[in-house]
Amino acid sequence: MLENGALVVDSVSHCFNHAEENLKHPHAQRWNDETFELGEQLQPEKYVHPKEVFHRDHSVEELERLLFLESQVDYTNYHSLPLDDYFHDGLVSREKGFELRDRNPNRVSMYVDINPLDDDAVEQVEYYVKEKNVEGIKLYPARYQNGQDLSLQLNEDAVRPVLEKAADLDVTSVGIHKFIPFATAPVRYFRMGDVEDAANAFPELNFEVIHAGFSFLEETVFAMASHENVYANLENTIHMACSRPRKFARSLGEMLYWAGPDRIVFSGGATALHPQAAIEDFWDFEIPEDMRAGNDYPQVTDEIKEKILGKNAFRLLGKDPEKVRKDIEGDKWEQKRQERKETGDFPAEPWSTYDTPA
Amino acid sequence: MRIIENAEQDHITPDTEFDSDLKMAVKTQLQEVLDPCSCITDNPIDLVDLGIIDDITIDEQTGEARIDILLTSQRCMYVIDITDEIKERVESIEGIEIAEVHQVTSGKVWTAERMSEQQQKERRERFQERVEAADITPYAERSD
Repeated sequence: MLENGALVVDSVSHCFNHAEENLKHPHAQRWNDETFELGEQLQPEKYVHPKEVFHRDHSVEELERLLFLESQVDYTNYHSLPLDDYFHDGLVSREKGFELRDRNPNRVSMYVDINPLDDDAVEQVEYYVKEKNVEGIKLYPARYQNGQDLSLQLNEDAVRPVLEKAADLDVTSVGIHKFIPFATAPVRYFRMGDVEDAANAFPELNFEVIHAGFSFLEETVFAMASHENVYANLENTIHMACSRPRKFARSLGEMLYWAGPDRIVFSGGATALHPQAAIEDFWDFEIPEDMRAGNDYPQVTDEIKEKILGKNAFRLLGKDPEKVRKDIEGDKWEQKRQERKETGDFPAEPWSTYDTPA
Repeated sequence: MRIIENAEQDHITPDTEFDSDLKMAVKTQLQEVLDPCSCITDNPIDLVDLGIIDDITIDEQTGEARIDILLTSQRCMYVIDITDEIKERVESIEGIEIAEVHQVTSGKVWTAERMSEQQQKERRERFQERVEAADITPYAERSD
């Protein structure tokens, strides 16, 4: 919760498993290393994990303390990841997400990962929506199988049945990783053309493009300006407010100019990044005057920041912020926060609540 | 009406002039190296136009050249391909014995303002054409 009482919604959290025994493919270690380096590049030093904290199987208990004691996040949307080409458990397991939600039913939503190449991908969508009440599905634009990169664009035949099923079931949203290429997958898989096609074909679905603003900015704002069901999810991008303010100003300014403030959502990027680093720097963020003047970017007002930090995500998830506020009032996290506030220890120091503390 | 922002030039641009003929020859060769990502679009762009080249230094006695590059992303996976092509082209210049490519990791960040003014202008025009063809009004300019 912000100082002014506005709720903070984290639109992507993960519970990563960077442990050595989880590596399945030669590229997996590189993936882990690059994720760590991203945190080093994007965050102030005090928020960067010590390596012994990062290179572990992060636990659900650690994630919930990170979110609710070390940061001002009040509500989170857990995304499991389908990277079982590289990691035995996919890197971010579904099981941990369900455990997190079971432990915190008033504070957690979930998007479940789906691999459209699975024979039962459509049945999985139905199962997880109907039986496990997930709000959305999470897709990746490429897979790596039998030594080959396979394209899985949203406009391809392999993906269409998954989207059709999601639409039939009134799924809130489809999260799609974009903008940050990985391993050996061609860069073209991370562009926006397929998102526009899918947004046209499935107007009843919302498409959250993850890491929006990191690259291919013009394509992104074009898609957002021309499709009301395309949202920018700022996972990792928002940490540029800490370390690359002009680049972030460009990304945010273009989105606000072309598409407005209502379809941009904050993500803390846990456990790869520390959410509080981004919350604090974003709340203080202003687009430099020279960039505003030359590009007609608006002022990033407190009202816009509150939308990006919470209100937009609640709307996307179909949650009433006041009901959430009532549901979490006096819960164990609010009590713990209050206790810490009395001793000046909220938010807690970065990674201090971990089992292997910093 | 939006204008294109100008930034202070602290890197090599198409307009950069050197007293050294050898440096000019290196710059010319670097203008032949295309950014791999741009090659998947209809508008390939060379490294100098893109603002990737941070500095060129040459020891004319030994023929050793050093090219500092600032990648658009520290996670760029084409760095090896880019480096190889720079070395190949620069080492083909008479008077250059060896070329080394260094990635700038000082914390300096590539932003779109490093692109040449001409490229920024053309890029913005292409975008405007696409916007107009799709009949899109920017949110900030909507009256409703």
